[in-house]
Amino acid sequence: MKTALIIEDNANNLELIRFILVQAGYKIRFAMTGLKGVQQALTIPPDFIILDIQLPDINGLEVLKRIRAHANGATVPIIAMTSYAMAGDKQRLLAEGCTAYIEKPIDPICVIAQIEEALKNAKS
Amino acid sequence: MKSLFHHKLNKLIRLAGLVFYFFVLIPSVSASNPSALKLNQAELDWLAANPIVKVAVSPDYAPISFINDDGQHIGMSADYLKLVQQQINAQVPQFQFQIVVPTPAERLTNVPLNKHVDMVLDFVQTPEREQYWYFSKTYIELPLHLIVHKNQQLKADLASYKNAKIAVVRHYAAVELIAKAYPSLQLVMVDTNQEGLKKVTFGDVDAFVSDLPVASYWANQAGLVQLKNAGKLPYSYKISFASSRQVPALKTILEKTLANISTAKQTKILDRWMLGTFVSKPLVSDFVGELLFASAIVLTIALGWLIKRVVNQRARQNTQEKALALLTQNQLRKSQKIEDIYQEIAQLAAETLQVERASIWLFNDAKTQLACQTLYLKSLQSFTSHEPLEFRHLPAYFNELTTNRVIAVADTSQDPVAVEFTHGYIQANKVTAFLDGTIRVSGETVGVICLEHTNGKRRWTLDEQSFVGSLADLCRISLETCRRRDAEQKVLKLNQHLEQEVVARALLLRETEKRYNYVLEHAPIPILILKKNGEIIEANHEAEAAYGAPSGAMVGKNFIQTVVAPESRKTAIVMAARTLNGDSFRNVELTLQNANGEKVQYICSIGMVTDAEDVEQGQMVAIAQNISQQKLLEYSLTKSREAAESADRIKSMFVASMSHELRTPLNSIIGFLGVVLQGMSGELNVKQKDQLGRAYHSSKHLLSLITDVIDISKIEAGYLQVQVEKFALADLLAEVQHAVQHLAEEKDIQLRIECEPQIKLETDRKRLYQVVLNVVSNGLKYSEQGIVKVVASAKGKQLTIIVKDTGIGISELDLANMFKPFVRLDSHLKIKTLGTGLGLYLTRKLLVQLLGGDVSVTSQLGHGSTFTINIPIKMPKAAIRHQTSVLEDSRP
Repeated sequence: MKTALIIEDNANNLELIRFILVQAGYKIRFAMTGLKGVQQALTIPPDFIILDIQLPDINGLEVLKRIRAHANGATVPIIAMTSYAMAGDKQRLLAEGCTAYIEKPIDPICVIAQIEEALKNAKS
Repeated sequence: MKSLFHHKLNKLIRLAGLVFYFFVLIPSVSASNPSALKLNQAELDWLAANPIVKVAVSPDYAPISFINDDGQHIGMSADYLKLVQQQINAQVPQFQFQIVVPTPAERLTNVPLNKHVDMVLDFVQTPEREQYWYFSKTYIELPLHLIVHKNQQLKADLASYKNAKIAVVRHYAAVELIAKAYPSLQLVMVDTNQEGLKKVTFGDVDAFVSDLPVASYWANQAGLVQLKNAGKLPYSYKISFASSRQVPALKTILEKTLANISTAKQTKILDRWMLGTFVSKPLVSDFVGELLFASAIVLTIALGWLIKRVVNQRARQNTQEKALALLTQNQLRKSQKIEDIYQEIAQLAAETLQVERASIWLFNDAKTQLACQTLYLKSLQSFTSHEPLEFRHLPAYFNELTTNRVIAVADTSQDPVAVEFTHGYIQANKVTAFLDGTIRVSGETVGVICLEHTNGKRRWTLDEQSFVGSLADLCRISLETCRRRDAEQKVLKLNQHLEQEVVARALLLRETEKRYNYVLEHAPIPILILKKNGEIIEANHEAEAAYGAPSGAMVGKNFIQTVVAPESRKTAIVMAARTLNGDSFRNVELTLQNANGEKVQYICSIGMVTDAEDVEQGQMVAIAQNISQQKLLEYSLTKSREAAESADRIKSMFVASMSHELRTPLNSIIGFLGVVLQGMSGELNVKQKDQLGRAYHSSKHLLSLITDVIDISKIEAGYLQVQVEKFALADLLAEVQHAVQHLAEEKDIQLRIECEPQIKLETDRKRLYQVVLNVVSNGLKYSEQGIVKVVASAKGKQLTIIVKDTGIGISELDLANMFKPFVRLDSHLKIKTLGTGLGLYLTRKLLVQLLGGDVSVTSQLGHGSTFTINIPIKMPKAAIRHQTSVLEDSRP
């Protein structure tokens, strides 16, 4: 059973993705700030990370950089999940080592398929 | 003119009275039997064989022997000679004496052969001469006198004249007589009596030896009045006929004929030349003690002769005096040019003396050339000029000019002075006689006035010679006057010019000063004038106001110590030092302080305005501008720029945040509705499913509405940036088909896409996708059945995508509003279709503003619509616009 770390500051959205992932059979850990997210990701590395970009303390790009800078976070798949952003954001995230990018609002039917495809790509 | 003549006469009498002291021997040639001239055969033969006997005469030994104005030889001795010839002619008619005026060289020699004559008419007997000549009985004896300066105390005792200079006329007998008696005396040879007298007058010699009639005559001619007679010498000129010892026959003939002249005739001769009627009475009784009775006689004789001479000359002199007077009068016209004066002088000279050519010449500075100033030709009555005369051609003549006052040449063919000219000037101009007067300035010859006779020989009379001398003087005076006048005028002009210059400069200076003062006082900024050491010399009103000091209070204070605030003094000192080295500074920021010590920011310019080395003189100007206001403005500008920039950031942050903040709640709304509708949280009954389904679609609609609004605002704010990438059009169209497939299937509408597979694009894929999706879904929305056909074709650099539907179509009226925001077509389909009303508006915006393309539509109501999208295949490089990303946003 795979463990997902969800870094998301909005409680409703956190509950939505948590519910969908639990329904799909994943174990869930979560952090509601960037720094806590980085801490959790590096202390007990999860199988993959769902990362919101707009966070109250440090933004998602920063979180991504810090995790990737550490040995424990060098390879863990990170799936960015964010609302419609500026052009170029997606490219920058992918350039910094982000595994996949899923736009909000998420579709409950498709989202598991999107995640699983991302994880499959990361492995190969 | 008459009075002038009398004046001259009086002067002569006075002179004669003072100077003359002489006596005359009563001729001792008295013969007892005057009528019987008995010549022997030998004498007669000799006379027949020598019918012409050349007689040398003195031309200037008046009244004994001289040449008169008509060129005739006259005088006492001439009368004797005439009587001699008459007697001889009674027996030998063809015989005649030929009068010869000896050349200077001939006069000097005592040798008959060299004199080229057999006889000398008026020779003074000397021992040396006796070797060559037989002397007849003396017919007049003139005692020699010593003529001295009137201030001279010497007596006529030559023995006491040790080391004294005694002048004697070179060829006169006195030379031999005195030299023999007093070998220790220094004799100075002079050429003429006049020269000797002049030398005495000017102190060149101590005394001049002469007989009195001659001396007085020349003293008069030269106007020399500073002379007196020191006394008689124990010598006299015993004047006799002399005949060459080589012709002894002549001696006896002369003796016989002289002896045969009656006493009456001799007395007549004496009467004629010496006015013998007055002999018995002394004329001047109160004369010097040594005065002898006889001297009075001769004085009277001489006086008479002189009167006669003067009377004879009167007419000529009148003319000359008139001419001189006229010239002198003309001289008064100061403004006259020197050239005109020369012309006047030349013309008057020619007309007065009746000479053909009258010219005036001036030496060049080196005295090597004579330049003709004017040349008057009497016959033509016109002025001309002549090329310069060169020293190298006429050395003797040039020499004569420097030594003589007057050069009188009676016959150019004979006179040695004229010889040089013979082949040049004289011959060319047919000059037969000339009279030159040298123009002298301070004793130096500077030029000459030449009067040239072209009509045969001409013996120049003494008054003519005097006249030419006067003309020369007049030339000199004119020359000096004109030179002085020119110099004065030059000085005057220069003075005037200088005065004008000074006035102009002063005016200019005043103007400059006015300007300077105006600028200084009215400049809206403080200006200080400083000494080199920084002391304030002047401060304008603005400076005083800024400093807060009363008028004049800043003067004398040191700029750096007083005005510059402590923190800026270092800068100011460096600046001042460099200014002294020639640098000048503009816009240096300095903190200055006022009288209360309040500090104000200034920008200062400082520079040297004078070159003076002196500390007192050297000045600097310091110009300051208060920039505290400017600083404040600068600060507020910076602030407002920062504010503006931050507002900008806020705006873009707002736009960026909107997409997130609006979507975040929608994310969970749509998400959970989806979860519930999927039955993931348990089974729903039909009613629940229907109601939640409506909520789900509404939230989806809201999302697309928000998305469109944000897109539009981004485009308008310029925050939407194109992301150019290369891709195949077919892939993009397939995606579109995939996205709308379910919609088409729902409505049972056929979606047909025709695209050439090789079309590659280089543009913003996402935006083009959005555009095409929009237009295609639009076509599907507004159709109920039929076909929506998408046809893409590339032509040149342009891509055309035509989306044709078989829908309800658009009315002509609606077509005009098709691309306006929130316009929804009033149709029966309205309620059945969800739309933001922003779709086409956004589509057109994306195409036009981002992709550089356009969209147009044609339609017929009820027969469907055709949308034509045109975009460049390769997007031209658009300017990268400012973009704010959420990733760069650092929240507090």
